[in-house]
Amino acid sequence: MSLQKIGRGGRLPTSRRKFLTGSSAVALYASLFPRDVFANPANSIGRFAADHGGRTSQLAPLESLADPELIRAISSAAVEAAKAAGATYADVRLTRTVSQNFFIGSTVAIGGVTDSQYAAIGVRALVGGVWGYSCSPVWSVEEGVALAQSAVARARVASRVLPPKVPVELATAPAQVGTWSTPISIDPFSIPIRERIDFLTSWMEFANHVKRGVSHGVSQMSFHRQERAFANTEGAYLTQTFFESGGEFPLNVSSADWKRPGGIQVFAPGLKRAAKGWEMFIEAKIPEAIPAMIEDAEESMQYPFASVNIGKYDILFDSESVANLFDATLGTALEMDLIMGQHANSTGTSYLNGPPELVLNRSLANDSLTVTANRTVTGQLATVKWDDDGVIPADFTVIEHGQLREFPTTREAAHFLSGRDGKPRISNGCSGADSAMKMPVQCAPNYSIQPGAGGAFGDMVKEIRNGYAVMRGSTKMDFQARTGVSYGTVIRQIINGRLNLPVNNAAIMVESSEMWANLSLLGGAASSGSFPMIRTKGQPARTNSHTVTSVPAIFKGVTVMDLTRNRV
Amino acid sequence: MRDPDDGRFLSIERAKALTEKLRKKIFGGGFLYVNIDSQWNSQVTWSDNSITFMGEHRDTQVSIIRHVRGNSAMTASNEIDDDSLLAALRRTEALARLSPERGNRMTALLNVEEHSSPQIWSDETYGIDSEGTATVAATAVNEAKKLGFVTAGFLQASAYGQVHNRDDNATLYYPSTKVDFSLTVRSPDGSASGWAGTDNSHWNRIDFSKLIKRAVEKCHASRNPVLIEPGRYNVVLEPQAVADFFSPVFGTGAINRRMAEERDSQSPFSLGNGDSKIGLRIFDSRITITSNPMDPELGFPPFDYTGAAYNPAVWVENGVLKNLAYDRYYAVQQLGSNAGLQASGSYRIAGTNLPIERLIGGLERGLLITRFSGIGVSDFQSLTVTGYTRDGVWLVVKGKIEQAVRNFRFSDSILSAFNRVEQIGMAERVYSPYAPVMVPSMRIKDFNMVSLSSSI
Repeated sequence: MSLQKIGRGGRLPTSRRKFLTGSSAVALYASLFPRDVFANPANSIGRFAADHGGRTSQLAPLESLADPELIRAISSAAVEAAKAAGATYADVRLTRTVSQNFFIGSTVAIGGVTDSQYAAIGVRALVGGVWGYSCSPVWSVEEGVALAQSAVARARVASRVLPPKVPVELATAPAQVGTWSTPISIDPFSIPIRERIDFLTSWMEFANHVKRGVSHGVSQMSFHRQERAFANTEGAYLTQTFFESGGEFPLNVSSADWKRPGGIQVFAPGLKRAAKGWEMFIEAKIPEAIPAMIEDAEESMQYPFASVNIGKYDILFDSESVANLFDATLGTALEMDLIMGQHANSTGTSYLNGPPELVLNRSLANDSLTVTANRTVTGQLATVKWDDDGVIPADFTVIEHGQLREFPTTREAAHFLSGRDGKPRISNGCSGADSAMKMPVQCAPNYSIQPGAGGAFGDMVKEIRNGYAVMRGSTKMDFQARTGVSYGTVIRQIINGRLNLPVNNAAIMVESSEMWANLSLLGGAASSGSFPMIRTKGQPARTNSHTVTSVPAIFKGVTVMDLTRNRV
Repeated sequence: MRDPDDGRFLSIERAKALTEKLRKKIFGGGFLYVNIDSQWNSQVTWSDNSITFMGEHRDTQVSIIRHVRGNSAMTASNEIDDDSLLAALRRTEALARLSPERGNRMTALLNVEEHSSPQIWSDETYGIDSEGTATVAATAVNEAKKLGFVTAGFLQASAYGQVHNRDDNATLYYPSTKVDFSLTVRSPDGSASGWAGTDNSHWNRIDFSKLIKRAVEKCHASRNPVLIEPGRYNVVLEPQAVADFFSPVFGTGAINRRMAEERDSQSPFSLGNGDSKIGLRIFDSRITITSNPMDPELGFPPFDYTGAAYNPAVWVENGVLKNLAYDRYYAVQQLGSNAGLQASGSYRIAGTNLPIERLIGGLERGLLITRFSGIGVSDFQSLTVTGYTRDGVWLVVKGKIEQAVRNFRFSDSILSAFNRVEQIGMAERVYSPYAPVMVPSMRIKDFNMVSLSSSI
């Protein structure tokens, strides 16, 4: 990109103009900051902040978790109180969650900052095989004791008024003691807020000058830190700190071309929510990505929309579309609590109907599909050292050559399942809730769809004579994860092994078991990508996040429909 | 009213003490708003005929909003000890100094507005103990068991204290109670499912036995469903289905007047030229939609988080769009009036005295639908909604319920379907956990069932 081209915008602020000495877009961007920010971000932050004087120093980093002695005292008082009140098992969780979010609208002048800090303490107690749960925001020894007694009293009433069909018992788990933190390079909360906002606005200023007519949509950055303590009546005592960051930087590239009025919006890569710190925003290298984003948008704007021809086709999903498809279909359906009807009154159940021990080893997909699960991969959203049962999660294979091998389990689920099929089990560590204000529930681990014999997305296009490609697709399923629809941000025709025109109003009909049986080719490892997922279930609703890693995939004979028509 | 200051949630006295403490500590002039949402919930969740857990939840969230010389920021926290509050206030002030200027929009909202006083507190609801909620769960389980069914459900008694404190130190405080109840009854093999639910401020206005019976009967009647072709059917939507279908109007901001009056607006209530459809007939002439915090069957807290009062509103009268929602800023700026017309999310669609049986009786061939699930908007401008039928669909032939049928995915436009209404039945409170809703059953012509779903 030439300097002249940038300069033609003619609207650079004077203070920035003097930096325009490089020959590339990146140089322009880099010059907006002292060089050290890019050379060694961790070291230079303080100096950069100091350059901004008092404005940045007014916001000290947020306080860390309260006095460790106090947390320990609350935890042990709560579990002892529960035990004394008659709980056969009890645990306590304390969480403090700090979140910040910056929005910048379509002009730099409009925006907002939200900032929240929430504390919670929750005690879970088992009496007569039924759970009681009590929670509040007050961190004190007295409150811990009161909550424990309340949880026990509630469980006792429940087990007396309606004795459980199968009393809850827990699979054994060694009591753990330890401390852990999400591995990140830079704590985002340690960086002055002014600097973080500057970083975001500088992308916009940069993009505005890369090409005339390019503007940005609503851009944002969000940061999240949760400190969590856990103790139980078996002697566990664990403290963990979790970090998440994410952002959005959309560019609106408009076109004077009559075929595509209104232009197109493209999103910057590398900003999807992940268990990362401030380094996410540096590693995303947005300035380097901006010219390519604009080129992509301009390239796709060359084509007029074609209308969709409904029928059955071979469909290529990109890795994001496969990740979303998997999570909404198999990833949801294989949750044991859904299969057992625990959320039948809210989220729904599962199309994998039947006793869970019989669902195990059932064939769910073409034998090319193998999916592993973990809560250990750095940067992924479900990664923890210990789950909300205090268990170290195991890496395991969920689906092997199309067959369901193992459910994600909690201690309760592992014991239940062992009681059904007689096979001894321990939990694989999938208990969780987003704060101590919520009773833990079985949560999804990070899933990884294992690569296949296909190559990259571009190579896989060549495998299709007549079909469609679904890019950045999302899938919405019914209340048993059985039938649904996949929508693409972009859906394009594939004709004779080449990407052709984009189509408007097309969508893919999904019948989960049929779709996965028709899986015919998975992409190679190099085409893999990781994507954030959120799952909400139950009453009261509990939300957990995880990451799905996937490769592109081809599905044969899939129904393509036209959303503007009444029938498929 | 019982004294709510028993530690379960924040009383008016404690709320005032908290805001006064904050007010004494403000630094740098400008304005301070404090919002407090205090709540207590006692809940029981059950599934597979056993209690999953019995819980109690308490929380008090304080939002501090500071406007300093045209800049503003908000922080939220539930740590309300003196040190934490002061730290939150200082953080808000520092953030405000970093925030971009926003002009004087918020200052237009400064006047104290009179608000109404709906009867939405119930001593019975606040007095419900875990024994009371567990007993309802046990009743549901025992009724389901009689027919060999299993049930899953949720019952929650709550109290909320909503506080808004602003610069003249006027404190608005409104306590309310609420009961949320819903249950699903299923055959053990998962081949039939029925549902019922509602919510109300008043425990003693919920007929638990009737709802339990309804869910059990629906499960029983939905056994052995058969597949019938998708396509356009004349349908009778039960009140819950009407509310589920109509939910995007208040749930997506479609009701917003400012949006409708933007040029090239995508609002369903916009003419696209900068004018809204106010004054035009948009629905069948029998449809009237109102909101009123003083509606005796539908009360809700009478002000929003900015302290603006919820005034009685007629949104649609005899099919004509009468109003869209706007805030006080819009009122001052555009209408030269002093009060906003805010939408709380609560609404009533006027019903008739016709029981649903009469609506079914008039159906030559069509479907009776319990409710919808997974609602999404596929086209905002036409308010085209898609989702699934759930927990009971029946084929009706010559006015008689003939046979349970499998579920469908549907796709239909609210703007279109509400002009195809053939008959309107009695209104009832439906299950709407975020804002109370009262709607009638409706018979609608040519409702669009797009595809089949084998899910039950």
